[in-house]
Amino acid sequence: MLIPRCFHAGWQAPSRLASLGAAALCCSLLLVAGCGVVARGVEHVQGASAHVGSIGRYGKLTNQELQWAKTAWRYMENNTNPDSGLVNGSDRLPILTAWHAGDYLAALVAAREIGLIDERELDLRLSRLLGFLGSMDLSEGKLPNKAYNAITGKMVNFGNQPEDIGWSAIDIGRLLMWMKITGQRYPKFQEYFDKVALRWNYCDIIDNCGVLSGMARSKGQTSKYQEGRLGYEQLASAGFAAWGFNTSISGKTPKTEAVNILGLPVHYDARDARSSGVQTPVLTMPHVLMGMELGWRHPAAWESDPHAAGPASRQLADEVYRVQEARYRKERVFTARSDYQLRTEPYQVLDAVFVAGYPWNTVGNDGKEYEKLALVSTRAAFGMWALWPTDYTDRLIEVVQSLYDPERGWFEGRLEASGAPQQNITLSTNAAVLEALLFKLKGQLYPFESAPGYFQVQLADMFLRLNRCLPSERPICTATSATGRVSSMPLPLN
Amino acid sequence: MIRFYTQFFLALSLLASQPGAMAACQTGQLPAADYPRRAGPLSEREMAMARTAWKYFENNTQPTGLVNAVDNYPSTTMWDSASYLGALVAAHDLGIIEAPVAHERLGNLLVAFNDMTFFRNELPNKVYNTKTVEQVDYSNKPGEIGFSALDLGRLLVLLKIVKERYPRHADAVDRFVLRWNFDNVVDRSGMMFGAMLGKDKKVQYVQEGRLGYEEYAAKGFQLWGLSTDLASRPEPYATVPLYCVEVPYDSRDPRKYSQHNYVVSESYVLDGIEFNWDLADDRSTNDRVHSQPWMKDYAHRVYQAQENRFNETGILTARSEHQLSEAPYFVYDTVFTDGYAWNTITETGKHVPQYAAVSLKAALGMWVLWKSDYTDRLFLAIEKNFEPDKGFYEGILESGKGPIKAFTANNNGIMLEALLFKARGKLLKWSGKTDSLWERTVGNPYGLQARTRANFSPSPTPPHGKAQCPEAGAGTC
Repeated sequence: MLIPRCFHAGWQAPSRLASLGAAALCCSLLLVAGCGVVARGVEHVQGASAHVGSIGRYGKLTNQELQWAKTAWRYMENNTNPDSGLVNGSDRLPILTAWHAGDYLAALVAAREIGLIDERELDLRLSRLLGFLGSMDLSEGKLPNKAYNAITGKMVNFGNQPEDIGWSAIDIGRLLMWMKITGQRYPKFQEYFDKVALRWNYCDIIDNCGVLSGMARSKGQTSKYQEGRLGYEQLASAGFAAWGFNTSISGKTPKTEAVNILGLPVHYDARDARSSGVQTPVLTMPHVLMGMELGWRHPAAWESDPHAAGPASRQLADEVYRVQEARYRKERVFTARSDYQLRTEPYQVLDAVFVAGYPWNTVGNDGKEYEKLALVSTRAAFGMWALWPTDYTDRLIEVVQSLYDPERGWFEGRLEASGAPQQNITLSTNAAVLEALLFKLKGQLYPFESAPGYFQVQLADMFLRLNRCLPSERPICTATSATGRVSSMPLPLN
Repeated sequence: MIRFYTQFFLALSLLASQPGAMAACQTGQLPAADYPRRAGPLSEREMAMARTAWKYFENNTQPTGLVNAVDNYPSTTMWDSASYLGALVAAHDLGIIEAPVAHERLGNLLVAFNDMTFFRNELPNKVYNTKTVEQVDYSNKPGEIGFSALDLGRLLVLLKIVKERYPRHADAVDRFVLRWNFDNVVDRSGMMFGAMLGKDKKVQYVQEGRLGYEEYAAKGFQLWGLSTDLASRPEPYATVPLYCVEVPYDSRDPRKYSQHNYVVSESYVLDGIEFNWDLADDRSTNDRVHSQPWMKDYAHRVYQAQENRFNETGILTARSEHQLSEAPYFVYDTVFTDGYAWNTITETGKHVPQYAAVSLKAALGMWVLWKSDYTDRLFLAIEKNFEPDKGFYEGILESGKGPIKAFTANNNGIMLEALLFKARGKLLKWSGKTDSLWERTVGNPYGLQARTRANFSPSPTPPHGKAQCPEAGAGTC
């Protein structure tokens, strides 16, 4: 299964090798830094063969890593509401989104497979969550609302007041991905996840070619908007692709522009934030999640050829990693940047490698600068550590490894400006720590082979018409590369 | 950079199924580097253009000798006055005006220069009323507001060009420049400073100039014997890939220094037309050799990115700062500035893409410096955009809404300079004379006028003859 591909190495995450012999060969030929990892011993090689996708760190968790996982799980224990079975999106605050529900599934799977909880606890927690997902109120009666109260399970606005405020395609994409992953890993639950997916109406969230749309709803007025930019757009579209939706457009790398940062190229979404009002930040997390969950292979792309080399998404992820490492090497600034939430202005922080025209820029959704909010992000650091086994990520983990409250879980990160901890404690960060450790243990999380289940049987029934724009109910996508810029002629360059 | 694209090509096969990801770029030399300049006598069409452009100056010359910077508005800057000098030299050399007219105009202008009061008795103010030769602010109300090192640098370039071409006016030119106090405009390290008034009316000297304009304006000071070491270096810069061209821009952060780092054609066009992308004191007359290779290379890049944009998008592109006929009246219409490619902003940084335009001065400058199919197209696009009794329009809006019906000294002056460059080559022609009033005075250690000046170099040889390319290994640079 594992094919040595050491020619990728040197500038991207080294592919790991199936045998010591091949490893030694590649190392001696290419002197790749990452190959040294392989030489640590036969035990590790066995760990590697159980590690799906042969990317990044692998092997049993050390005692310290187990402790990291337990700290993250502590968050789930503290924040599970006994009546609803739902978990708070941030410490003690009973709001959760569809994204958070995906986070919670990831945390549950990780906790079980790392060995923090037993089969019964997993079953109980999953059953409660499925009970919610299978009966939750839906925005416009169609799709999960942008937020729910974690105590009552009712739809709320971001002020935690009951209201139907519309949906987010990005959040729902992540939930779909983890419903698929969990159902595949625990087949006894697959049927119930399938039923959740069949309950939803997809007509307005994804078009025939995979363009994703969010919905804003206020005082009964709704407005639909294209949602997602390079990074999160492809990650979310992978969730839809996992359920069989055509993602011809959102699954591809959209038109990009490039900048040079510290002499390295970084690509970003070419859709202009100044005219659309939607920022196009270069962040770590979408690339990290894409790597851990999918091995940087969009389901739509690798169903046709599961062994095809990783396409542009791997290259983009490597760019994002390398430029952050380069910043540490050249400027001695620890860098692991992504987006995070605050309970005060500007609420959403885009702590980016590049955004709004500038590298190492930290802005709100409106593009306004918040330089002092730059972080070494705990979850970005763990994700980079898991996927890129380098000296730099070893150091990065040292920077964040004590940033937790043993009773409450991991902090959001460390402020770049001062080194002070950013002591928010959130579901997303704690779930990402668990996911990174699960990835180290098991490798790529979305399974290569997916068994058909109740969902597929329903879709195959030609007499069943749910009229929810399920994959089987849609016309074929006819647009070809609608967003991609195909160069009409090779351009000169110097 | 070469490394990046090598990797990029390795990765291309992986990208085959992702056509939208990135356009294919070729390696190798920029086509712009192979385009010759246009040279030779002007055709009748080109002469007609020169006459049209000169019309602006006929209309806007005041009895004081000064010329309005904008049609019918009695105000000007030293930059725009320099453009008038360029226009005057061109109109005379191209035979649009007779010698006596040229001498009279020059004489009148120099009288005005020698009469004008200076900001804090240091240097010419940023703005003057062209009717009264009073120092004014931007709303043309009397009062001094500061000086611009870039404007003064360009004026020094044109004063030198005039002095070398018109020996009979050399004394008047020298008397004007001898009135200047250079103590605060260029510091000991050769960095340039502008002056402005703070809220408390105290003078603040602030570093002025960004890549392109900074090095061009520094040449003016060099021509008058000042050392401009730091200002003349292209550093600090970075590059941004635009349509496969690594385009250099000033990497000083506009958010921290409140100075836009705009990349436009104009600075490189002026350096090409007036200096042939040579070092300031290069007296060689060989147009094919450019003794400031990095300036030539950067100019090619800024040109090529614009040609490539046209090839990719079909949008004619020749960008510069330009005037508008309505508020906000003035925009920086750039190849790159403040973090964004093809950014069009106001002085305050507001994004105003609706004012993106083909700038006529930029288009004609590119036409004369790069003989290509693309600049042939530019020429055809701009040739008829004038009013016979007013001169050339400022630009043609990208939006398709037609010409920008504003007329300026800078636009018409640079267009005349470009046409003169076609006919005669670089505008700075050395007379060989070395004993002018300026040289005698500055070199004289005796008398009460004698000064030790830290940054006056005995021989104005700039230290940066070495090629500096954006990428190491670009052999052609």
